[in-house]
Amino acid sequence: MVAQGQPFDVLLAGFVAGTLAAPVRVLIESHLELSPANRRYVSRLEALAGAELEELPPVPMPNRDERLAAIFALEPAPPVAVKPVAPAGRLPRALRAHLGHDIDAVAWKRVMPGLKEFRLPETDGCKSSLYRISPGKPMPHHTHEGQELTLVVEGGFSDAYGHYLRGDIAFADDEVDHRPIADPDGDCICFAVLDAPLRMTGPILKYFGRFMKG
Amino acid sequence: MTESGRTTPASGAELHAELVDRVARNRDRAAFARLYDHFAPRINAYLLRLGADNGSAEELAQEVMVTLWRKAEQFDPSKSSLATWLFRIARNRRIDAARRDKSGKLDAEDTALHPSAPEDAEDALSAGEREVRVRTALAELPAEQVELVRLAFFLDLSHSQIAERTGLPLGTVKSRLRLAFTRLRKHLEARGVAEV
Repeated sequence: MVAQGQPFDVLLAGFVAGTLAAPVRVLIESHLELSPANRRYVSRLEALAGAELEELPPVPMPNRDERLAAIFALEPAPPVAVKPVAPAGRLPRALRAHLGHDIDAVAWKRVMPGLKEFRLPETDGCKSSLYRISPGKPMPHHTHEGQELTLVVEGGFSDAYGHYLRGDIAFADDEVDHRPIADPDGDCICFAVLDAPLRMTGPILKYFGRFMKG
Repeated sequence: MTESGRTTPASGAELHAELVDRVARNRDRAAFARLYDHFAPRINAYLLRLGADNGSAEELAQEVMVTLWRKAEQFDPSKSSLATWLFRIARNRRIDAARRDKSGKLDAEDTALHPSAPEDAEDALSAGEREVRVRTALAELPAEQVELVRLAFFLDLSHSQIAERTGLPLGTVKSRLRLAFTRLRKHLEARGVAEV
């Protein structure tokens, strides 16, 4: 299921403008790496920003001559490969860089049977976690006080609104009470970013809620 | 300072691409100085408008120009205009600088140099043509939506700051912005080669 539509378009614009909270930026950049769905829109918005840059009234650089001379005095940059060769990994590059490692080094914590979590430190007011859901297992019922973005990194899951595969993003806000269920054919690994605490709604989740609150 | 302010966007993009090529091939200082005089003051203006103080805007603009000097050969004029490429570098430098302040850490890999969003095969327009079209797409939005897009996208104002500035209720700002970016998507994506 392709993530498009109004809230998502604003987020993509925020990505281009460089104004997103760090975990959301990482999520969107990972999405663009994994899925071609929104690359064109993002690249067109970047072109728009470039055109806007051309039209800005210039503000002169003080000490222009000295600054130029400083650049010409730089040692030539060491020769580089045509492209930076990031070794292929299971996680998208942006997410690996954010975590500092790939999936094999993730210190999973078991939350309940069939669900493991690795919680990242809160950054720019956003909580974020990696989840690993066993085949066919549900994530707990929950609603949100803010918005939650869930990027599928491996495998897939379904909720009442659709089926999400690698590279897809599920969007939920305070009007959505959803219960994602992992596909039966393998573990589902997701990166979820939340800008407000989860509010548990299902029966067993008073228990679960203790673990989810920061 | 340069003549490019008077040229059309498309030919401006071509001139810039040629100048970068001279920098990449021969470390041509005169070519670089022309690019510096055109772009450094604009990147400086962009950073100032986003609220950087004078000193840090100048330092970041200088860093962007250092990147252009050192990595000129990585600019690909078939993928974007130089203005767009430099915008991406300035944006990522700004994010890195904010993170440096917070964590003292730096991201070693610079994704700005290579588009995360390669153009698809269908999209065979030149960078200059693309930018003309993108401007047209913005111009096709209703004026009130263009204004909101500018405030949110180019001025980095939060929804509540926009509400304050425009006198619109917060909920109206949110829903109109969503509408504006979705309309913009339609206009931007409609402009493939098929439509020439």
